[in-house]
Amino acid sequence: MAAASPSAQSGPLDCPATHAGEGGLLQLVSFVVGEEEFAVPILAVQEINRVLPITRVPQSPEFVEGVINLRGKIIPVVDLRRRFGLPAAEPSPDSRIVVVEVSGRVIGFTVDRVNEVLRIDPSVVEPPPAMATGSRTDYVSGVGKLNDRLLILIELGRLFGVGTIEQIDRAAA
Amino acid sequence: MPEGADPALMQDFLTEAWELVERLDADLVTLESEPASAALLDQIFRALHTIKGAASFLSLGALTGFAHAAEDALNRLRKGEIRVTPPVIDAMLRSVDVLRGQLTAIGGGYEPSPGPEDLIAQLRAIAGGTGAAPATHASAVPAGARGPTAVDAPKDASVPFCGARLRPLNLAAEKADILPFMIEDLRESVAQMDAALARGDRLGVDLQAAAAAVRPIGDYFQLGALRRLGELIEISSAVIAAAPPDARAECVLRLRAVALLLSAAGDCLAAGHEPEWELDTFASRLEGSLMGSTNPQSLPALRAGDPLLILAADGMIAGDPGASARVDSAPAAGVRAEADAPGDRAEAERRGDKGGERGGAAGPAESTVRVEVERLETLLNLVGELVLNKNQIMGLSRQLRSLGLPHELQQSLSGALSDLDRLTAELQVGVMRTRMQPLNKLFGKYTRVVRDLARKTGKEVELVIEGGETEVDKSVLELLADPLVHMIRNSVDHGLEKPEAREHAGKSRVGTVRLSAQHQGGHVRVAIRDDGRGIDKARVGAKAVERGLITGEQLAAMSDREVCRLIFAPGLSTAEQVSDLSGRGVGMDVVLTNINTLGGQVTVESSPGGGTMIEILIPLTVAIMPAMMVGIGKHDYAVPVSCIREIVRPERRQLRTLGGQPVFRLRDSVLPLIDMRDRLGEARSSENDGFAVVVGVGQQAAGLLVDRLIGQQEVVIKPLDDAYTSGGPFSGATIAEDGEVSLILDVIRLLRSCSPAEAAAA
Repeated sequence: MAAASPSAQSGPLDCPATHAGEGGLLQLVSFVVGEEEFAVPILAVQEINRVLPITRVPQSPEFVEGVINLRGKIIPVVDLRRRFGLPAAEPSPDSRIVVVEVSGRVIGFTVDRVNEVLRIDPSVVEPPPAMATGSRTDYVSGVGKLNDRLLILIELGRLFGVGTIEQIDRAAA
Repeated sequence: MPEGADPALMQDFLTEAWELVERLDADLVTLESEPASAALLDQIFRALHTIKGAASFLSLGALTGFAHAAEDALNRLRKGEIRVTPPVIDAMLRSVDVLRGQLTAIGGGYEPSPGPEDLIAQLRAIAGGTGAAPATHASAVPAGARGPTAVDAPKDASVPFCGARLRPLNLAAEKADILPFMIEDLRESVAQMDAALARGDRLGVDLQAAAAAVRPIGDYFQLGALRRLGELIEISSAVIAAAPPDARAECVLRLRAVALLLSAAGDCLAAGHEPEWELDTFASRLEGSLMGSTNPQSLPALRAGDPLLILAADGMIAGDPGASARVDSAPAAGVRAEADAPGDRAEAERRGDKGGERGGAAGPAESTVRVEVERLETLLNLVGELVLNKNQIMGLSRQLRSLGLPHELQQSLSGALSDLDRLTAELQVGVMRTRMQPLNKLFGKYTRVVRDLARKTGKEVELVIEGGETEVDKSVLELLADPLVHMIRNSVDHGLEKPEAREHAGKSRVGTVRLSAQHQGGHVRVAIRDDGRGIDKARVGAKAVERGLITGEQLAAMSDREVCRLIFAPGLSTAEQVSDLSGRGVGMDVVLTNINTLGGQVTVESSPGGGTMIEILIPLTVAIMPAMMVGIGKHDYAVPVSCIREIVRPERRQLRTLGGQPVFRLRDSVLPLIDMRDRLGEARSSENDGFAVVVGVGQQAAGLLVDRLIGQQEVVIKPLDDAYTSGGPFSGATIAEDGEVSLILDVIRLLRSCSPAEAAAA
């Protein structure tokens, strides 16, 4: 994990407090997809891997890149660029697969780069802008404002919701 | 779950109770057809008693109370005071259902309900007149009191009456009248004593009370054994508090043995015998242990914590061949036959003890171990990983060799690798075998299902089970459970005629449903055959058209077998009336779904008036299977070998289209052809025609056009069950030597997509 520009609120990686809610702070893992920076709760993240060979699974939703062998377990990998409707990009040395657990499912997703583990005060998180429309807003749980950065907080349950596959497929078609 | 109950104990209890409850079902149904079987009655009684005892140990009051009511009713059957009749069996079976409900509640962490009052009243009516005051007793069992006795009950039962010599009990009429109450008192004391021993504090006071209860009974009925045991308890009560700590364990165990003897005495008296034991050795050793000297003969029993072994070591349970000669009353034969085995065990124990630590520690021979399924799953996964890892190492060694190694090194590398290969294979087989379970585990339940169905539908049905000992993987067993129930229901409800109709058709009144299983290569064949009216193909076809499952033209083009298969289509039922049994058109489609999940095949054969046979062919295990690896476009896929009929290289002139669907000629038949490159959206890497892998399931066959053949491999099947990846024609995935994932083609899904009947049944 590459440490990014330290900001006032971001804690060092070797901070002994690793559980969420410590002092009321949110513990997040931030990463970059396209031009934007996103964050998910650290407790949801199982591991972060370099990009492994991904096997395409025909007739799966368009944004599913395929499956990987995660130490003997087959898990799906979602291409977040495609999920966000961004143009495809070749994997770079910075690309990572973030493996998360969402309501019992283990799912990986590809990101362009993982930034850092950070702790932020919930007070700097605002609800998603009401003006924003489209499929993107439903999985944004809030927007964190850190100095010069905008951190888009993701609700994983909604991002990888099963009920939404068909809608997303239709939207993508 | 009641507060304070040890969750692990509770789990053990539930596991055991569920097993017993399942057995009760089957046993009760069998009892109906063999009403005279005392062994069966005993087995049923024992099962119920074990549940009751363990429940009471865990302070599950509602369960204990209800089980007790059922036990009282059953006891009358056992004594031959009432006859086995369908209403009685109905009540007993309903009781089993109530127990099941209670167990479910307990498992879910709820307080179980006490059981329906009408049923309890019915049970009491059956039990009525035993003199053992069952009505008041049903709920009067002190919670947690009867535990250890009852927990020991099965062992107890394997040594009838704890090896007592039996004499006919001769009592004056007025004494005989109150005997049942005295027995009840005695049992109460035993329970209290057991509870006290389990608790361990205030032992002196509790034992004093027990002695005070036991001795008068012995005096009143002139029973030497009871008097003597009462005395022993009294002595113990006086000195146990002062017993040296290291001898205390033996004292407690010996007192548990006393409780066991008292409980056996109760059983003897209830059965009309007077028990007698050779108590001298036991008594002197008990007194010795109270004084602080542990007898070496008692060590094995102490280690095992089993009071029965104490009795065996002290020669109370027949340990020598001459023992049987001492038995001088009616049930002697049974006592002798069953008493010999534990005697041998005791003998072995004694020998083992002399042999030193190792032999002594062997304890009572337990030949099975209960293991959590999760551990086996982990083990299986690890073996799967190991197989992959081994494959990788094999690949690496080939590379190493091509680089050129010194001859000697190469030799030893080959040797080590072939050992690794063999050991992995053996380990794999071994682990797979731990997961195998006999089909009887399922089949056993169906006697009950069939009986209930027969009673409800007014039919007479005999269920014949063959090959129940055939073993399959646990997961296969689980996935088979629902389909089999549905098929059996279907056979009884739809297949078999009413007795009158059968007679009219010149058949015997009793219909037969035959459930059979046998191994066939790497598969298990399960067949359900009934001798009923057979499938009315015209009606099934008409119904399918009416429901819009297929068109009239499609029906016209279908073979008889294909029409028969329509019974698996969802929403299709030809039963005139919808009952709560079947006929609602759900169910049979479950059969197809589950069997498909297992990679199995279903065939249906039926003749009008002659009955129907549904045959399922399923792999023994779902974890590892042989597969043909094929290349399609840029990727590799696996095709289960079990589905492959042949592989051909089609020439261009064999390829045609028929009604827009590509087909190819194979000798005399025309088969649908699925171009897998199109189907999977793979790039056409070459213009060559590739290979047609002819796959078939049941009567369905098709050719799968692939680019390359790679070769056959044993593949470890991994589920591909995430909602994102379960939509394609894949039954799972497997991991190749290089760690990459290959998908396993779901042949059944592929076949369905090119056949009208199958598409309808999809």
